[in-house]
Amino acid sequence: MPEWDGQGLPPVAQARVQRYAASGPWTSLLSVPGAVGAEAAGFRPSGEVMGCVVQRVGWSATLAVTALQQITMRAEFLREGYRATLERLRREAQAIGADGVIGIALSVTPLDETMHEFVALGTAVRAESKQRPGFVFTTELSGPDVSKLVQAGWVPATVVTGFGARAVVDYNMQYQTTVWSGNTEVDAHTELVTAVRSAARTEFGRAVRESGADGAIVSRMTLDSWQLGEVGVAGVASVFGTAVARFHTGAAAPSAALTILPLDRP
Amino acid sequence: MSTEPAAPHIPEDAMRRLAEMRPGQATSLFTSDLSVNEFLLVREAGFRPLGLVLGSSIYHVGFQMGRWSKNQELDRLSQAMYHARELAMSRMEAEADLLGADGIVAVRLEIEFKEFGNDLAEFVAVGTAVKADEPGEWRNNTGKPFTSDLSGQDFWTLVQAGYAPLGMVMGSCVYHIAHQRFRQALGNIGQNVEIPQYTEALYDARELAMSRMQAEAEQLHAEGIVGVQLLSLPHRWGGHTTEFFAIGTAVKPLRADHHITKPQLVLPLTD
Repeated sequence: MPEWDGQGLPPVAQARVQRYAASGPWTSLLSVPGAVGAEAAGFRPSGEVMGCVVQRVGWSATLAVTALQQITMRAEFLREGYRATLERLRREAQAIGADGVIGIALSVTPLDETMHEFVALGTAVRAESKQRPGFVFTTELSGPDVSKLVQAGWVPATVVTGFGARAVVDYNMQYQTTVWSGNTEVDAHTELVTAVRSAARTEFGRAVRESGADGAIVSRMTLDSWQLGEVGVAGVASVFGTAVARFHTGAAAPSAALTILPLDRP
Repeated sequence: MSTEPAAPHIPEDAMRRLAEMRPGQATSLFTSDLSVNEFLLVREAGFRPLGLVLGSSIYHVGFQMGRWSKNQELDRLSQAMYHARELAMSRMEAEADLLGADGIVAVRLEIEFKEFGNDLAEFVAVGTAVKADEPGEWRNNTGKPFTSDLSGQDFWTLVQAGYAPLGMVMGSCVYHIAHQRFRQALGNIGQNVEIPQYTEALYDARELAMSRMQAEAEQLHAEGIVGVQLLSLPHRWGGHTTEFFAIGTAVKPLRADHHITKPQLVLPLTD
């Protein structure tokens, strides 16, 4: 196997693409409802695709780094990890001639104290159309969700992420958090969670705008915060979602919801 | 197996839209915290999502001990739970107000006790600010956007049936349940008996939470409250202290008749 320079796809993934081109059967990670849903919207699975990167958090004990620098690096680490992972997933999908990837599952697994593995798994699909999209669309949404969106006149465009990191130091904190301080809002903590979430949401919004889509459906938001000694607090927030673009013209979406009552619950 | 083939123009139009996408096009951009089902139903109910709105407060909950053998409300803790939720909700409403929203749907109000620090809890309210396609009297009598913790599905059904949400209403009561006296505990050994002070405590606490919720609904001049959840949240106050928390959406009628089309019955073939 040739040595890999870190550019493009790893040799093993490249070999898989060639194997795919040579053989007939396709693979898919979609559930049965997912596959049927995708088909109803005009998409056929062309193969399951993966993007993966193992990264090390880039600071060491010998370097004098402040708490703020550390968490800024942590956010940058997440940002770059997800970006590289999704980029590799997209490349693999492009290589097998797909138009998009649906049902993407994103995960981060710590391998040891400093190394983390980022994985994105999804199913590449090809649209039954003459028009090609110009780029590989990606979404965390499942097959049935993609189907409902597309039939209502919205198309998923790209997975979007936003990250924020801050540290706040406030000498009042130690007085606000003792047993004797009674009911009180803790200013430093509140300021921190507001600021990190706001930074993550701003970055998310900017990414949606830059993608050229019309809006975004947020799939999850996370927040990690921890105390820095007696007087400080640090946190990292993230927002994940899918940017969606509207293609139906006219004020109302073309489909109408049918009111049904499922008979399967007591 | 046969599926309805997609109308041929659907993937065609969708792919064309993607091909035409350019970075930074001027659009009215929205973000939403709704699921796909909710997003589509809220659109269908005649509302446009404007953006995800959020308010949070990290609160230090004070300290209060209940008397060992007495049923009593721990009013300081009740107040803390009330005040912190109010802070989170009002910050979320302020964000929605900035966006010019008519209301906030699918609100989640969550409490997370932090691992670090003593008695620190984060109260966070998240929802999606929406604006009606057709202008109307959507804001409530306090001039604020309406709030509702109903899912998109429930919200759609509510609007279809001719009701409008006014606001989320809640009542909270932190209660200390008395321990049994020693002689009583001794006398009860080996017998099936009701522990009256326990029963009474649970009745009292629940009643306090419910009546506070009702009082909030009366202030909004609501016709009723839907989707009420009555929860007993132990948090981390130990065995004999619990929070009774009642939350629901106060509604007002939009019109006199409340008929919706009779739903079609389906028998799903999945479990």
